[in-house]
Amino acid sequence: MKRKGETTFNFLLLIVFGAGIFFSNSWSADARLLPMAISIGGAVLSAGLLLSRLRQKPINEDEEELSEHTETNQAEKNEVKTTTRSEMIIILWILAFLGVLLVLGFWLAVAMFLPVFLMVFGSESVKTAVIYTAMVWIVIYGIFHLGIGIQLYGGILGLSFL
Amino acid sequence: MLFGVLLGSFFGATPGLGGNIGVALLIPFVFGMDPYLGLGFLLSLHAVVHTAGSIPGILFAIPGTGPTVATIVDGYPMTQQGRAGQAMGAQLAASALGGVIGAVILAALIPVLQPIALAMGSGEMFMLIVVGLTFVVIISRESIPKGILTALLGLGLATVGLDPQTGVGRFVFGQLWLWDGIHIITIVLGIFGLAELIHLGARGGGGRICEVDVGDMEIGWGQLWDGTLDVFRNWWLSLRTAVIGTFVGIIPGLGGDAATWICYGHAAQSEKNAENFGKGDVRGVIAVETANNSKEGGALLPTLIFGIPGSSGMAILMGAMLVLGIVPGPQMLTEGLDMVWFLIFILVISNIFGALLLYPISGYLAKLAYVRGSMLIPTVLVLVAVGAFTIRGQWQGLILTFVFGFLGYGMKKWNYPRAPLLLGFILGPMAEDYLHKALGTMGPAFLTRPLVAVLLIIAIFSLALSIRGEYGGTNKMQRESK
Repeated sequence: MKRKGETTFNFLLLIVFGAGIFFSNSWSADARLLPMAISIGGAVLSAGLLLSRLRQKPINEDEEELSEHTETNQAEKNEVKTTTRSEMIIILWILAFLGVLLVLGFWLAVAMFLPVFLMVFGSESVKTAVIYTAMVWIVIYGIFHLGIGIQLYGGILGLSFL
Repeated sequence: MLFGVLLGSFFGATPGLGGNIGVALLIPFVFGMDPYLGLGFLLSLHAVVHTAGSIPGILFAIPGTGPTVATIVDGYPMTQQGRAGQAMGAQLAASALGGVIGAVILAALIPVLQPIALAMGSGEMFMLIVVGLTFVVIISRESIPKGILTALLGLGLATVGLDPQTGVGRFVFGQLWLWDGIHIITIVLGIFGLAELIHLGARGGGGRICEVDVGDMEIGWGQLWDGTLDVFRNWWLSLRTAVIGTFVGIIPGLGGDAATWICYGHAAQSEKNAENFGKGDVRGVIAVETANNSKEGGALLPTLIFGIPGSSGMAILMGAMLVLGIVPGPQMLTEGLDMVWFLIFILVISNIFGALLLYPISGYLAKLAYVRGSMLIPTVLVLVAVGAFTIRGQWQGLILTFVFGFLGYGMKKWNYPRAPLLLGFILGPMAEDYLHKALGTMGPAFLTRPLVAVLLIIAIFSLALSIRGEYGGTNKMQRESK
């Protein structure tokens, strides 16, 4: 699983550097000098890493097949599954926060996201969640809005009413 | 001055704010003040920003300021190992020591500054940055090809925005908000701060930053004292990095980020048992922190004497000087010598004050590493979002930070070193700028200048020795295991 993920990650980097070569090709010679050199270097290196990973694969697969039935291997597989699930859960929470933030803005997003996160993800009590959220909200508001006078993002709905 | 130190600690420790915003926000308040009072206040604020800026970096991998990024490389692993107190003790002592040494060197260099500064042309600056880039190999011990790849990614990210030479928009895709390029803090908040939050969250709500159990006593004064003593146990390293930091600070445009990474690379290259660097080695924290504060003394030198700010912070401070009626220039060495000595004094005292102020609260701050992830994640997430937005006041910056967060987590998970990406990002634009200037004035012949040639030889030798040491060591280990 880890190997597959790493190969995908490596492939994504290859695409990024490939795109770098494609886009920089249309600029003037002076402007593309460094980006082109970097992109070519990055593409060659990531392609090399990708190839070396793909060449390793059959050997490791044999090893995996040999040890597939052992208990240790099964436990490791279960652990990997659990970790992947936990990762997906926290990533979805973070994406949810970003979504709420972009739509509702800082003040409403903090007031809405924090208690839900604390209660659902953290299994905290309603009382703890509410008090903690209020504290964080007040501190952020006090420092950034009142203290420094920074207008934080109001959201797509434009709720920067504070 | 004490008020300035307090405010500087606050601005430094709050991710996304930093000293530049602090000084910029407070310039209007010093207007009309006595020049000594006003500039003393702003300089004391500026001097301690990086001292406090390392604290969130050590605790949560979220740097308060740009130059404190390098502290994370060893500081955060120390926190994970239950040695946050030791890391902060070392950080505070090294910061104070570095600040004092920087100020002392500044005082000593005043008479001999001019020839040194004038010897550094565009070619020399370019080659000095190339020497800095060779440190990628040193900080990529886990996998040199992966380290070089991430450094290239950093260099590529640095080219996003309008090209200063030609005015061509590179990788901007018609987006106006990308014209200014990507801010370093956006990347750091993502690939370090957010990535570590995902890592913490993947362990469930009960997970903590610190992965080992350490008794309460060990987090407190004992560890802080131990960290403080580490600075003096490694006195030769502390002295070297403080001196290097000061000299890098003197060179205008190179900035604090370069100073910290150059010193980190130097420590990793020159110290024994260098394989521990990046895994929670206190020497990594010491090298970065001494340079971090000593470079401020160096940066003050060209700002005062030539009117060329040594860093972006100094540029803002220079604006404040003009507001207060102080005109930087060579006349500062004659008519304004009192002011110069006053500022040196302020640097020394505020660095000591800053560390003393943060010592009593560091023990308590270190305990934050033991707070449950369920409480810490949303709080730090909000701080990351606030920091990502306040840098430029753009919502797109928020999305970009989160994208870098996922990239950083992928890099962490699949063992792609993250530090080289930052090194490439920081040094890339400077290298490109100086290369264009050098080629524009002298053509390829700039390589024949004596200092350029010497620096080129240093870069080649540094790279060759590092690769040889790395692969030589690996081969030796393989032979021994056989």
